[in-house]
Amino acid sequence: MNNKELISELSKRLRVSQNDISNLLASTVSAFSTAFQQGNDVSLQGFGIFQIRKKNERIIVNPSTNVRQIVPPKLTVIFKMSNTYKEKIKNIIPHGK
Amino acid sequence: MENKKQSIQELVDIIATQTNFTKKNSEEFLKEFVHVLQEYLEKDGFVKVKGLGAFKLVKNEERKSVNVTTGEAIIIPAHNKVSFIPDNAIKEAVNKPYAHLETITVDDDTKNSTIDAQPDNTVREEKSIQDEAKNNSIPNNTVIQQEETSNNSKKTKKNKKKNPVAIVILLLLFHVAMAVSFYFYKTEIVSFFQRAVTIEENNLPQATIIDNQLSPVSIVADTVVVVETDSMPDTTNIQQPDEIIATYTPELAQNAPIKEYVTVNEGSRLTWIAYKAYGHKAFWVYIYDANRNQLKTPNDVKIGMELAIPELDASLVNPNDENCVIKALELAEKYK
Repeated sequence: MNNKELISELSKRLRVSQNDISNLLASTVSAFSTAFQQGNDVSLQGFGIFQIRKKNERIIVNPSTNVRQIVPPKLTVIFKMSNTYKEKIKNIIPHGK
Repeated sequence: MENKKQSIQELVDIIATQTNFTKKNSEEFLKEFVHVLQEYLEKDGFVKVKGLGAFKLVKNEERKSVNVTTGEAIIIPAHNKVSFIPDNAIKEAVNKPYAHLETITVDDDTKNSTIDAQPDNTVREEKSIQDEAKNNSIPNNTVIQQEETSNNSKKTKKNKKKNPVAIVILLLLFHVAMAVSFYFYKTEIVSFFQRAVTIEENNLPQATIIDNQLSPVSIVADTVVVVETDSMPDTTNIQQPDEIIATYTPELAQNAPIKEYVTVNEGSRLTWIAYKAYGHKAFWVYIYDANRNQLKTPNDVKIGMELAIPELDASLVNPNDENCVIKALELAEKYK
């Protein structure tokens, strides 16, 4: 399911115009983004939690040229499923598209 | 950066203020959004939200593991997992504090590692060649030799393939070594004939000629002989050289009577002049000391220069005495 389908599905269910849904979605994403930039976690109850993790710097070696490089540390977003959702999807076989 | 948890409620507040929807509507939307997300994850296994990221349902196959507390082997059954890949916009926004950092290439370590790796390879190859030769234990020597040569050729081929740079360096070194050895060879032959002629002119006794040829003490030899014959090895005489060696100062060489003057010609160096005068290259330091007035550094020797060769105590410039040589080398180390 891509963004377009998501918007049309939400608009159908909530009986709100696609334009409004699109605005709401953009606002949601920006709310997520600002929360992450402040270093906050975002939890969606019943689904999971988004957390900020620091990945440490590391040394990589190009195996063919033997060139060593230091990769700087970075911050990333990780998603952890909630336990209830974990149990729910445990044995589901997605149909795919 | 305090780690705070933001719940749906807080998100709703933000959304409501940003858009012209009521809190109630915003909450409804957000809950429905999560709901749809979950539903379509279960259905399609893939949901992409623009600006946030992609959610994917990934199947983890069953695998063996160990219960940490009991040490029992257990099987973790196959299960599904949601993987989240953040959108590039989110990634960049989150990583802002570290955005200025870039990957750095480490130079020194790579050089060391490559240099370390090269000899290892050659050693291994040599070992393998030796092993091969041992395994092929054929009594005929010539056969083994032939095999060895063929192995060597194989080895060089391997080397060429592996590191052509090393081969080039080796070749260069070989050329330099050849040039240096040829140079020494040439100068030695010339000087040998010169020395032989001077000895004949001086009409020295035959015994000293032989001495000169064997260990060229040259013209100092006279005094050496006198000292040795007049005063037979006394304990005091044995101690003396040590004292002279220990108390040597550059002034000693400077104030010493001058034995002869040597004109520097092409190819001459202090070491070579010392070898001709005292019979050992290491004694160049004394010549250098005696000629401090015209030599600022040991490498200052120029063609046409007249260098004074000081007449030094034989115990200081005895090429057969280890202590003399060691002392001279110590001095040389200082002057370099």
